[in-house]
Amino acid sequence: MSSVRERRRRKARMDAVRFVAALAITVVFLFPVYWLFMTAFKSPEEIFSNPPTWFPSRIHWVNFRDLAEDGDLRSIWNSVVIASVSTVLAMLLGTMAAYSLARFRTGGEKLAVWAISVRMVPPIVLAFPLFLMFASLGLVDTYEALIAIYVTINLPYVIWMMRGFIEDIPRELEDSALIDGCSRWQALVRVVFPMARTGLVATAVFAFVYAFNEFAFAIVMTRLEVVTFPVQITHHFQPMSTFWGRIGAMSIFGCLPVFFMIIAMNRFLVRGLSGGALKG
Amino acid sequence: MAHLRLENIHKRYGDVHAIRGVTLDIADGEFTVLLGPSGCGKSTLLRVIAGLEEADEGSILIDGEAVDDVRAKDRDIAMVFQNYALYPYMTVYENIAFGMRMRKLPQQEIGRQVAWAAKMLEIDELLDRWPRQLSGGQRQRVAMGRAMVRKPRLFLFDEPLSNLDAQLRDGMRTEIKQLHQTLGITTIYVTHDQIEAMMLADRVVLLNRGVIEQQGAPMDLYGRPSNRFVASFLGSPPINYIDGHVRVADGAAHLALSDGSSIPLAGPRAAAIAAAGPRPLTLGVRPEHFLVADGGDGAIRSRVTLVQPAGARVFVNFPIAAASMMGEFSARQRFAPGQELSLQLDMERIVLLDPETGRAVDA
Repeated sequence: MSSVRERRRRKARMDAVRFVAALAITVVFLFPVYWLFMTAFKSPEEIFSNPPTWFPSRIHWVNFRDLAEDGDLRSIWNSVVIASVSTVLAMLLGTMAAYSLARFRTGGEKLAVWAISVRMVPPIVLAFPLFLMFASLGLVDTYEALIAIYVTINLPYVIWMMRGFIEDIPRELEDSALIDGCSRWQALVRVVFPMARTGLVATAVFAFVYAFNEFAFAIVMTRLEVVTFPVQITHHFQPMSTFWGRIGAMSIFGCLPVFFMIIAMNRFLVRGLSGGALKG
Repeated sequence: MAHLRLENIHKRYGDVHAIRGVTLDIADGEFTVLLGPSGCGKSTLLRVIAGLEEADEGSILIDGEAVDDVRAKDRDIAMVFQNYALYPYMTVYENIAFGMRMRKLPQQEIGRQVAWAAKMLEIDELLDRWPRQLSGGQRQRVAMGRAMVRKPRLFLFDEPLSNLDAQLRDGMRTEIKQLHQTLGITTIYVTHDQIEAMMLADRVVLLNRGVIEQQGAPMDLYGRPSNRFVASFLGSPPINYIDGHVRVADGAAHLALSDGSSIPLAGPRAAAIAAAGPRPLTLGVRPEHFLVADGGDGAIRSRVTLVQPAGARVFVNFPIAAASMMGEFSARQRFAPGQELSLQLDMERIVLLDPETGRAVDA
């Protein structure tokens, strides 16, 4: 009896140690985020005070108001538009290409490897040729230019990921649908998409996050009209001063779209769907 | 119900010639089993019939109408797959109803059909469940229900029992046969399991390397195989082969073996063998074609090396001319390793083969 009690006590102790360790690690990793977010609500004096102010004495909304008045929020809208449209296009084209590679072995194994190798080129190498190209077309500082670039960069990733997800779907499910009365397109919509739902969502989230955060192409391709969030945030690092409060506020705004998207998609990101399709 | 005709079907995958000119007639309501070792082309042939693969040459006719350019969905065929192929994101009801929904049948009719199939397959309690909540046997029943409700012209089964354990397989095999008897739908069933084929089929089509080796009633293939491949493939334990040379003396034939001994060939067939004169010959002897003899000159003498009792039957190993044989006898007969054996061949039923061509020899 006593050994059982002793074991339980030891287990409780270990659980407590683990909890404290996990908490410490979380605090370390979340601290910069906390500091940035708090900075958004501090007065300039509090930002630079020594010893530092851990929590603002009162919530200052001035940074958010300044961003709204100066038109900075427009850059977040630009990022949302560019990332959304480019993700939808990349997913549409990429999934169809992946289906072709997975099911019809289009181009053999070589085409699939070539597709992913495109992703391995350092983006900055392409930035200036692309700039010249888009400049000659009069497309610099337009949604179209950045959307085209992000679709191009995301396509290999989407193709590669979706090819794997589609290959994992048992072919018999599609065959069964084809015999049950589906055309190839209907089988794609009614069988492949539902079966690959988790893969589709996960891939789309990564493609969106890439496009939303991308900096190198954005700084080369934008001027005034379609400046994106990562480029706009650098405007607050000025030669004479850095506007930490605005940077903090901008960061909060910038995190929100991705944050809400992941919350909304979380259900799909974690759920495995193919259980029970085949022999168990 | 439908009559199916395949005319000179060829299918190639790159350099692999998977099906080499298969011609086959399947009568209305017939239960045909495509049998063969893995890689023989039987599943490919089934997929070609289903419209999931296109034949490179040849033609498929259902009720006299060529369907080569008809898509799978319009061939009015239902198929049951080896791994069930149930849609995991649909309930049992939705799985069974899927084909009818795609064909835009009225909801009421769909409900009636699903209820009919579910009752027949005894899965009416499971209609609200998900495939992942079902056992292997239940999943197989759902897959069959999905095929049944379509009332198709052709039923295709692609090794549907391979994933089930032995006991369940026996039960499902009986159910499939009963289902065929009840519905009378022309059925093509692919398997590599010869016992399954023998028990289910009206007709067995034995394929090897993309060609039909032999087709016919199961017992015809078993009893009168056209060649060595067919003789070897059917039967468990497998057929035994005794190689020798026919010698004729005083009008009587006997088979001289490599170790100097000989087997007298008696009975009506022996006369025909003798008439054909001396030649090399292989005797294909199924385990049950060895009979215990009561000694005498005509008997084959050997010695028991191994005894394997199997309930009502007993399998006994013994050598003939250094080759190991297996005989099957009634368990009422007693055998022990080392025991002397005196055997006869059931001459009317053994298979005679030309050792060079492997083809059956008439006699």
